[in-house]
Amino acid sequence: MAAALSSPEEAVLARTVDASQVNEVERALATWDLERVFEIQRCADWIRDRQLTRVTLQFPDGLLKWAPSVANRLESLVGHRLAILGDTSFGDCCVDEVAAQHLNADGVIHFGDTCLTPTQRLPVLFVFTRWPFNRGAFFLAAMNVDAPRVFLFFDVRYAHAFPPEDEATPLGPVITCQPVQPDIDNPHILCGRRCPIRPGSNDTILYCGRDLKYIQLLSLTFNPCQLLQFDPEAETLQSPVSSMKRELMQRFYLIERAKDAQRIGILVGTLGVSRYRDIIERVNRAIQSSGKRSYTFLVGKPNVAKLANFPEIDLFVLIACPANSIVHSKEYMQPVITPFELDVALNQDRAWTGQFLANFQDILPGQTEHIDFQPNSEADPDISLISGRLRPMSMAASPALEDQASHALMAQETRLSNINDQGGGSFLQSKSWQGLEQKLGQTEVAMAVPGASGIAAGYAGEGVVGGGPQEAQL
Amino acid sequence: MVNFTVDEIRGIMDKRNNIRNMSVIAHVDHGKSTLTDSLLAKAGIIAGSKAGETRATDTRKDEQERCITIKSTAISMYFEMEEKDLAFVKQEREKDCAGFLINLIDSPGHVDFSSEVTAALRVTDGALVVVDCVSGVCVQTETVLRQAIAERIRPVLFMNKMDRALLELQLEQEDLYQTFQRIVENVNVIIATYADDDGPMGVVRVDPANASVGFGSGLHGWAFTLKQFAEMYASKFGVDVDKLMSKLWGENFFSPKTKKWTKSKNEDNKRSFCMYILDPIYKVFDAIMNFKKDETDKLLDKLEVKSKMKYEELQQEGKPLMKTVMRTWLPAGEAMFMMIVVHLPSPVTAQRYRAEMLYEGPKDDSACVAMKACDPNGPLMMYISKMVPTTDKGRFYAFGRVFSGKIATGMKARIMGPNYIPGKKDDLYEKSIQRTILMMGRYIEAIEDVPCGNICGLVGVDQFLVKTGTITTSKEAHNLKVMKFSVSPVVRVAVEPKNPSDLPKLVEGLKRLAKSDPMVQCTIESSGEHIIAGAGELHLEICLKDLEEDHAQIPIKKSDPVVSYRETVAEESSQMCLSKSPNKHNRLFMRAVPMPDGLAEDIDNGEVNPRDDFKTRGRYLADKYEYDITEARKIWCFGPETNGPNIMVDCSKGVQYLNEIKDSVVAGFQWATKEGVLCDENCRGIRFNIYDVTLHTDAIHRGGGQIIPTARRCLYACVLTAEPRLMEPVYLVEIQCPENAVGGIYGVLNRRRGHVFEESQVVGTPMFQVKAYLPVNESFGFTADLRSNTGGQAFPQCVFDHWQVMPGDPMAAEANSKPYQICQETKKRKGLKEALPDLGSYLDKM
Repeated sequence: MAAALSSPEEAVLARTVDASQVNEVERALATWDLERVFEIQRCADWIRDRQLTRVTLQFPDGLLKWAPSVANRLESLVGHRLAILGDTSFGDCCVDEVAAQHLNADGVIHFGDTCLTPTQRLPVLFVFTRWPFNRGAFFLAAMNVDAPRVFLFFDVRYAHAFPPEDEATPLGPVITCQPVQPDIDNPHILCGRRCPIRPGSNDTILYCGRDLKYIQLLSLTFNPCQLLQFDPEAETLQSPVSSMKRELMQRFYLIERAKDAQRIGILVGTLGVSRYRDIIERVNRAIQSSGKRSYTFLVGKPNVAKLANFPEIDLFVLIACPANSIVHSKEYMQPVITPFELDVALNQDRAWTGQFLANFQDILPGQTEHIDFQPNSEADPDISLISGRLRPMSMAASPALEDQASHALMAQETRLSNINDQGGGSFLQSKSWQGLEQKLGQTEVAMAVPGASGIAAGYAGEGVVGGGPQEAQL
Repeated sequence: MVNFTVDEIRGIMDKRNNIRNMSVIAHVDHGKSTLTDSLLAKAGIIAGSKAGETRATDTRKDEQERCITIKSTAISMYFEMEEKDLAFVKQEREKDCAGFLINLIDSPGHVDFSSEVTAALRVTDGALVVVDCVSGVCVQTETVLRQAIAERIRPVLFMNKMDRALLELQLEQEDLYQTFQRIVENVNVIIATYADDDGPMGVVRVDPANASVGFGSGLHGWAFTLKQFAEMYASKFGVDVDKLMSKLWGENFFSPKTKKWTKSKNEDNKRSFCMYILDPIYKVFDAIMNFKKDETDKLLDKLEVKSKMKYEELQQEGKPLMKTVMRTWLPAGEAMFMMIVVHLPSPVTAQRYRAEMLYEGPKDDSACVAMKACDPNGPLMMYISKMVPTTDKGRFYAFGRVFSGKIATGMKARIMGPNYIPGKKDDLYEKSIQRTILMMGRYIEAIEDVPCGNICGLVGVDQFLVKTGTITTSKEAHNLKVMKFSVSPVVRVAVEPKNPSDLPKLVEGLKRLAKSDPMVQCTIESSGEHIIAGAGELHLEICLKDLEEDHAQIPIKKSDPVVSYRETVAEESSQMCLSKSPNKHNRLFMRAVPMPDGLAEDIDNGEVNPRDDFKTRGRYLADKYEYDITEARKIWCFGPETNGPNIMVDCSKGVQYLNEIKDSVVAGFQWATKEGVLCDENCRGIRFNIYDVTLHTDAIHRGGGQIIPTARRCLYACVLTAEPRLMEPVYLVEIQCPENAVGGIYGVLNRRRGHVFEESQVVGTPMFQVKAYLPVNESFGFTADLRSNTGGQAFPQCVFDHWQVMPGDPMAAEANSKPYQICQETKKRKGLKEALPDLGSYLDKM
């Protein structure tokens, strides 16, 4: 079972690493030494200050190459052994608390790109590492930005180029949004950055970096604004998304799909983000009181093949950090949405305003964006703009017909003792193959013949093993 | 003043034999609403003098402004019949009751609104087919007539606009007779094509000699059937009215000299129709229009109309006098009323042969038996055919026909939508009927209950139905069949609110719009666009206006109209396509083949469908399309949406575990045919053959996750290796115009990739009829273009006809073919990657 639901272990070894990431670090190391790039002194101070004894160092795949030397250097500074974590179970940007706890860790140092999401249990130090950055080219390009107010966001690896004390940029009315230590109760943190004021529709968001996931996150979060991207490698300024409104409308379509869905899968992506249990519980309650069925899944890094194993699920809700929450790929059979979007779809008190909250913590009780979920048993059915059919909007909307007789019948027709009308059971009934079939006497007895030998990935005499385009796990 | 009360109507509702449910159908501008006025005038709903200009059934402001009916409108009327006429009613009728209830639905004639006609026909039993005797039988006449007969609706014919024939065309009497004769023949040819004399309805043909054909002018408010004239002459000749009627039509000639009837024309005899019917009418016209006072006076005396006219009416002259005289002499309401009551069936008669055709369930269950008998004591069976907006924003009356039982205010009933399956709970609601109402044109009247055989409206069920549905009290009842429209929603526009925060209002408005129109489709596409799809430009224009002004009430931005395309293949896949699963342990081998011509249409029409018995279906495919019988029996599925015009055929032999992965392959097939590889449009007319699969022996390694995405990739590879093509929708265009405008038509059509396939003169008129095919994509602005190029003389009627493969390879970027451009535009609109699909990412090597 395990192999089908999670990536096989060997896949990690076969996985190709984004070469540009490695290149950037190598370029950085040409300029600065290892100490500077990995801020080893700061790490050592942090460990010493907190008197931690079992610290794990978490490296994304792109930085694993330098992990041993960083660890060695650090060990010599703090004087005790440190553990290295590779192959993060969900996203590189998240702190893998579960893996750290397996090692009985009392602290984690996270290197590289990070989504700066609050964690649940362990103290964490984020070391962004640093990539070379041409400030001159940036300011030259940014001079042309014509906007009343510019909000500057940057990839954390360029944070060294924008030190917090250096607010006086030659850019006029620029608000630099600095990456900050996660704090769940600070309402000024947006997309892992501190925004003293929320950008309005006339403002421009200027992003320095190449992280497509983060660009998508920015474009949805600040959807009324104009979004510009400065590519530090090409040193050009561009509009990364053709239309921010279109992105948002595509998400709106998914919300409509969520209203249609009868069976919703809760895909638990991360176990490290704080309050993930609360959100699972809340999503579960929302789904069930809307008369839908929920099933919870934990599959590690989701990919197309894993999710397609559950064709009975109409739609998945992904519980993950903001940067990994937005999955929008034509390759997935079922849509994958965020907890906020599900709330828009099911919570009748939450009107769609064009606002987008990627961070599920925002909608939890106690937060500013929280709107209590009131199960509404009297809601009238609604017309779906996907199928054109009516869909019940509450549990009571589907009629409570006293179907004692038909229940008895059902039990005889099928081998299952209790087939639920809306759950996976009804999907199973619609399948042509429902399980083991003996077909006694229906299969002809045939003589044994020699088949192909070897493994299916490349039988004997077929040449190279593999070679298909889908070689790497998604 | 309305000369009947709601109580009278309620009383007559129980007398099922004295009810007539009828619709008025015709080509656009043949005068349905105008003619309907005459009947309304007879009922006292509008003044007689205003009949013909009020168009009281055009209740919307835009209908009045544009002089075109957009929505069908129902109105119930009560009439009493004179004692002497009751004898003509050959059907069963209620004893001692001279009252009749006529539930009339006036329908739009423009082809864009023909879904309204379909909805009207479903709830009625008879149809008054109106034909402009100057233009003759037109496309839409044929379409609606064909639909009527398919729904088992009995027609009567009315020749309208006789005033134009007399005043404008100044036709000779014999020519006018020939025109009438030809129209009757044309109509009967159409009827004969779709109905047999020994069919369930019996003889359906219309015949002036039995008074099932009326003549007259709706605009001037006069009309007659042969019966009226036969009655006038009966005493004079001393012959039976019935007998005389047959003498007054056809090849019957009378010689005033010899007083003899003959069957052929000679010098001193005259056709009886001309002599006895047209001659007096011509004389009246001649005398009045040429201001021959004395003659007029004499004529009025002779026709016994003088005494019926008021003093001031007699002081008129010219056209107004002519109208009044004709209306007094031959009141249109009277003639229509007789035609309707005598020739159209009562619900009791009609349901005997309509019930089984309307019902999805077994023909012998209690619901069907009750409908057949039109039994007021049986279970309630009511069909809701459309939703009528109320004054209360966002709410609708559910409008329909009670086929059996009785529906009453406050009663609990089961409301079943079109997707209800007996025994399941989908699309089923059990609710109380808040109120039953009577539809009276622009007004409604509350009514306590409505027994079977009647048409009525319901309050409080609209939120449990989208557009149509069945209402019943029986738990065992199946649905009444859904309606089949003659038009398809092929023209689409994307809408968005001008102010982005109005989006929720737009969505709400779209849902209301979807309810209010029988055919419009409102959807959100995966691109996030809100799409409204309708039958044509006019239909969309009206929908958008309603959306903006009534349903959403916000300013809206709309895109240019676009059409949807289909993806298909032109050849068999050039190679066996292999795709491996992500774990490399499973392989699928498939090919795509184009379907033979006609099969996709057969699937569209339900001739071939997934619910058929596989043996019967296999035989049909083998016989008609020369499919291999064993393969034809192994159709795994239809798609997209499990019933679309693509199939997956199992051509494999003895593959182990194949049945286990069937569901996964089917899921991949549904996915791939819904979102085609070229530009994410639906596929059409592709047969996919699965030849072989190699599967991992361990079930967990051949689960859905491994097979579904692989099946999709393999199907995409099949399409890409089989000469993929785009298909576009094509309109059938019919244009009537004078000869000098024909040249202009050709010019316009040529510029728009259209081609003429038929051109003929309408016999007896100077008009030409041109039939052409025109890609829907090229049809935007066609009407205006055509008018400006023909001096406003040509009016087209466009109706979706078929899907047509576009020449050119959509994959040929360097050739920049039209299909390639369309693919790119479509992808751009949908926010997809604009790169060409890459075969390499779908196809794997051994």
